[in-house]
Amino acid sequence: MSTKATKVPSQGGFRQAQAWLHTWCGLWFSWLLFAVFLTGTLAVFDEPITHWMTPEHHAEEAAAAAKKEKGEPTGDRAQRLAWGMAYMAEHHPGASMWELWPSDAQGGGELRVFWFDANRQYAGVALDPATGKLLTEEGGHAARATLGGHHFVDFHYELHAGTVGLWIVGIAAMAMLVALVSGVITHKRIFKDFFTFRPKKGQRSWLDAHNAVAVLTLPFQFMIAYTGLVISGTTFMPASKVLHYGTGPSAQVRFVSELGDSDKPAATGRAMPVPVLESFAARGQERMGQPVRAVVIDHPGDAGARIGVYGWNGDDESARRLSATTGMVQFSAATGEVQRVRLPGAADGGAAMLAQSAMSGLHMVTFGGWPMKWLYFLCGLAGTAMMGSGAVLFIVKRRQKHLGEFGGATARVYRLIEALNVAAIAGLAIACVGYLWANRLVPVGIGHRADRELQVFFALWALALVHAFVRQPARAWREQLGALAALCLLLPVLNFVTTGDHLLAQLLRSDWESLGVELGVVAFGLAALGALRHLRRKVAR
Amino acid sequence: MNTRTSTFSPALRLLSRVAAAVFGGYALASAAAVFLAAVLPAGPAEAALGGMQFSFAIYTVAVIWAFAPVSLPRAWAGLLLPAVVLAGLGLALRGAGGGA
Repeated sequence: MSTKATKVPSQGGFRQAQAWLHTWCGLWFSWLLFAVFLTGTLAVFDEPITHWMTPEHHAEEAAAAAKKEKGEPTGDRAQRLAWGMAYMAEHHPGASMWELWPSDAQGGGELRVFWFDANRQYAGVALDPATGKLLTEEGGHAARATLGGHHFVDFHYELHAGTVGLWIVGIAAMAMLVALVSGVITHKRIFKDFFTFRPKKGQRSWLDAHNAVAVLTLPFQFMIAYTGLVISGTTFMPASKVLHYGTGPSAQVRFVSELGDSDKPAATGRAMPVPVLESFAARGQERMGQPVRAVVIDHPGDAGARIGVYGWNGDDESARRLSATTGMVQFSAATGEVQRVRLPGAADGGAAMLAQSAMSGLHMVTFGGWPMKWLYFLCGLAGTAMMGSGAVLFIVKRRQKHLGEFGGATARVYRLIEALNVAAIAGLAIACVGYLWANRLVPVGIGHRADRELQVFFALWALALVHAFVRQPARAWREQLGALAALCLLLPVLNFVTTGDHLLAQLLRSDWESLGVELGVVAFGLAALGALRHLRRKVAR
Repeated sequence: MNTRTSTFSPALRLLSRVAAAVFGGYALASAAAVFLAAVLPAGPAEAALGGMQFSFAIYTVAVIWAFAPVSLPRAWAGLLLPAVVLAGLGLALRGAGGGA
């Protein structure tokens, strides 16, 4: 296989070698990175998407809001904590940890309890905030089971494939860092290029577009790839941890506890009932200056028990701070002494932990409120466009002039790349909007319903791949873009037919989340339509 | 660079360069993380975390180096020698400083 693709220019300049690296590293990872970026961009709005995908909850949400406004009586915090304790003492006396979430920041809302069960699995239930009894699913209207917008969150960092998926995405993120750096080195005239756009010039236009979105959002792209790697960094790069702690589950437990919780007490084996929690909650609230979100009891029922009180971040606090940690005050259950205070926004450990927390906040845009989410959404779209335009540019360049990188197999490899481009770009977009269609069309009562929605997502993507191989590239592009435009533009119609809800109703009841999702999808549809018209004109010429 | 490099096919030489970038680069990044974990002024857990946080930048630079226009032996040596030195220093300093 003595071909051009295998010839790293080892005698040309540094820049030429980097151009080679950028082209090939970029190409082979562009499809996966496009998927990670598009779904990651949608993940910015995972909550509005979940809201749209659970229409059965809209009435409940409105009722809860009305209830709160009328101030209907529910238990106060002391009462709620007592109910939570009573439930835990009756049902989970042997758990190593109890965690009670008494109320929202305003003192109303849900009452939830969590614990570690016998298998060290985290579990939880909701209690009725008016009676303290276990809440059962209300009869009448069954809510549809769905992963909602969390599908996009999960897919963008582990492809619904657990650790294997996490590693695949991690490798792609590393390849992206390499492609970014080699791309910058390749560009001689990075700022001049930025001000250059030559539309309707084929290859030049693709190059200009690729450069413009990349240069304009370069700091964001570096940041999002780097912070994404660091969030799961101890998985990808465990050497420094292994140096001090060795390997195995116990090493991991020791590492994590020393990082954030070095003074966690051990159980003493002497029994001691958990004291009344409200006095701890009240003192904790005063020390950290935040309303109480959760009360956590380690080793409940033991004399060595520790009580942690955690706070709620207010919206304005979250908007101002990169690190999304809340306040926390820990007490000894036996003596009532304060053992540790963490102020809101501070980290449990030192500078490295604070950096970790800030990088995680940066990646997941826990700060800055809605304007920042929109900025992330636009920068994410720019990153998605960077991946897509790069992949298209590769093949557009070679349609003009066959470079013969793969010897006799070149034509077949180009054909493969063309098909992968269509399926990775248009096909994935079809799968994403098809996932929303599935949400409305899969019957509500069906078993494993959330999995069915996912299966539609993957099936559509696979179908798009087959289609891209069967049809000629130009036709495949037009047909898939047409399907994408139709699915996007008809989504509001589908929603009206299946749930009776529509844009005007959403506007009238100020349901900005539903309205935003539908208008956003329609905007994607119009973009697809625009691309389709452009392709048709090209054929006509 | 010289005629001797062409005793291997271009595909093999490319494979070797990619391997240098992927595995040599990973080794260097890990070694740098180990070194930083030993010298950063913090407790062992914090220092280990800090070393990890820097390692991806080092990995990136290492891959860029592997595709610099230098001969293959130099590309490999430029990654593995510093890796051995950094890892050795990291291990030695951890012993001296009484790490964990």
